[in-house]
Amino acid sequence: MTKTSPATIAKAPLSNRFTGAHMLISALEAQGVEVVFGYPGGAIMPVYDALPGSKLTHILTRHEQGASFAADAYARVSGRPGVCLATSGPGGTNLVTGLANAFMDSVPVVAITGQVARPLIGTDAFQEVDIFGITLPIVKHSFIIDDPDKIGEIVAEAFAIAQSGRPGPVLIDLPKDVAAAIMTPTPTPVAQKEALPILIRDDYEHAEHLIREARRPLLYVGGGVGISGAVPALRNFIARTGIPVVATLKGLGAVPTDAPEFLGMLGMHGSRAANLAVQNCDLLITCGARFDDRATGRLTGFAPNARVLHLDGDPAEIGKLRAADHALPGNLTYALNALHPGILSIDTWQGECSHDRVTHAARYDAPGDKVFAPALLKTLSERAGDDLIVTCDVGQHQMWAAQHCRFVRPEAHLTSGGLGAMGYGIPAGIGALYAEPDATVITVTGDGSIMMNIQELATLKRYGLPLKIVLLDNQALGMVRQWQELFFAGNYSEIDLSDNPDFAALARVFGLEAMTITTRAEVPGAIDWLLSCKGPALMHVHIDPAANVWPLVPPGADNHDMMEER
Amino acid sequence: MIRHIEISLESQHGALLRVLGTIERRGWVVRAMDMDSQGNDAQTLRLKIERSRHHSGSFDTLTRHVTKLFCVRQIGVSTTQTDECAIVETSASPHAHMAAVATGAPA
Ligand SMILES: Cc1ncc(C[n+]2csc(CCOP(=O)(O)OP(=O)(O)O)c2C)c(N)n1
Ligand SMILES: [Mg+2]
Repeated sequence: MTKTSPATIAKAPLSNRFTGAHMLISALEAQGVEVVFGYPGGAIMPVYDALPGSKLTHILTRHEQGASFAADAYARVSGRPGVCLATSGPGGTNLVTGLANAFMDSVPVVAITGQVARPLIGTDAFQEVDIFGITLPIVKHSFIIDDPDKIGEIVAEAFAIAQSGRPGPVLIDLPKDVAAAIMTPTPTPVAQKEALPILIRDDYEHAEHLIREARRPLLYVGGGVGISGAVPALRNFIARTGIPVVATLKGLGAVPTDAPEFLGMLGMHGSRAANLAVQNCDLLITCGARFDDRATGRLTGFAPNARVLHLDGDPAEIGKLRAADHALPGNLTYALNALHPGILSIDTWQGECSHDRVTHAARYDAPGDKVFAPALLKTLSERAGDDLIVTCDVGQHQMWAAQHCRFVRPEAHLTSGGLGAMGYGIPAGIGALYAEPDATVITVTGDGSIMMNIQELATLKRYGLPLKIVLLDNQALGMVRQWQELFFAGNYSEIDLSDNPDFAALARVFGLEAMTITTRAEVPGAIDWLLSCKGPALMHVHIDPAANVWPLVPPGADNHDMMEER
Repeated sequence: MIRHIEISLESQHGALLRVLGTIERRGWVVRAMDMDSQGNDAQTLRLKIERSRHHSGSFDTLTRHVTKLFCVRQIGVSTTQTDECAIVETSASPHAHMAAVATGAPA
């Protein structure tokens, strides 16, 4: 056998000829894409061959899940679709959690997966997985490109669908032979967003009538407000009417945390003022929210005395879980701007709400010298200023961040709301930094969650991304521990993480700056340190393993039946 | 109670699975179905469906979810709840024009 040097096997790079992969890249450029997050492999190789020299910046994450979460966060902050790229088989399956996350939180993501060549589809070929079939329930739409000439058109359609109406993820599965096919470039159409319907004047008049009749109206604001760009319209509506506001986990930031009308987050870990207002209101103006069970508690006991006026971009949400007395499906900005109910007689109600807000405000004077996570997060977010973006993982630390951080815009709080996926925090921080490089981006994570995508510390180092990580270490899967304590008679099962690695040392091995604190007295210095770090940094904070998140509406209870710290 | 539903579908990869999957996931059971094609680019799917025992979602909500699918052009529903299929209300999908818009063709 003669030895063959690599140089003699290598064929001319595909890049010399215009292929389906080049068409894909130019179609992405035509949609205005600047950054893609991805990970290469066999079936997507033609695309990676065409990438160098394009206008796209490719960010190599260290796991496809990281790429999908980063694309999701990029979209949430920039308002433009996030793009992720993976190979067939395991590459595609590793994207699945990220797609489900984008689907549940209505985020425009376009995911492109390599697929085995067309003649091999259906033969159980190497790395062949029916990613189209696997993801059907968690995408807004999906395509398999079976013809190179359709690439431009399908990419444009994917972008249009991802952004239109209620946004969501779109998957494009690209067989390797389609990507490698030599073809003539064709112009790519640019995606057009589908406009949402605008209603007639009568619809608004009836809504105004309901608002005028109400003595205890309340705005229940969800993620739909930020997603649809209706924040200014909402704030103007509040300024016109003075109606008090509560927000869902995803609605936080639509109204600034310190606005006088804002009563806090409602629901399972909501504030007492917010939950009492919901239970006592006589009109619930639901704005881009969907009566999720984490927000409503026992659905039949939710806002029991209220009529419902439901404004949403997605008509399928109207009446899905709670019947609406009147609905304004369609463009939220238009609807909020159109509503002019006139002078309202709600002074008593406003007084009650602000009284509850003051009386039941969170306290930060916990006894002891252990670090009190709520106080740390509050101070850190206040110090970080208005360009703060907090990305969270999932657990107690996520709820403390939602309850205690100061948010002045919806983009300031990126959290895995619908899916509740541990592992979101760090990749989301990466995506946020690409969308807004000058923002102060802080990831709030737990000792369980950080390990779900710890490999992305290498991505931070590689690209020099100044992500500031606050790791709240309670040596446990704390949220599960809390539920076992309260609802499973203290039968602690598989929640112990007391053999955690030395996280600060681990971060340093990845090339981050790191420090560890264990007492409250160290907090101010640690915050100064974290905010002054120029590159990626991790602040490892030991907290009381027994600390719980309060208040808590137990499962199956009404929202006013909150448990408080004993 | 059996409901009748008639769906005009784009002939796209996965369209049938998408519609049936949506119906089942949203808590309905398909009791009978037939399908025929309207030329090369569309199909008509007729279904008899029934709400599954543990589900309380309304028929209206279901039809809105089906209408949202990008492979659905039009959907017709019977307002009667008998075995007779009398489609009386039809509504076009809001997305029927999307492909045309995206490709710059007249809507
Ligand atoms: C991927 C994933 N697996 C499991 C869960 C269930 N879960 C929710 S919170 C939690 C504990 C999280 O622990 P940690 O990150 O340390 O946060 P803590 O609650 O201690 O602040 C778990 C296991 C989840 N949400 N996501
Ligand atoms: Mg923990």
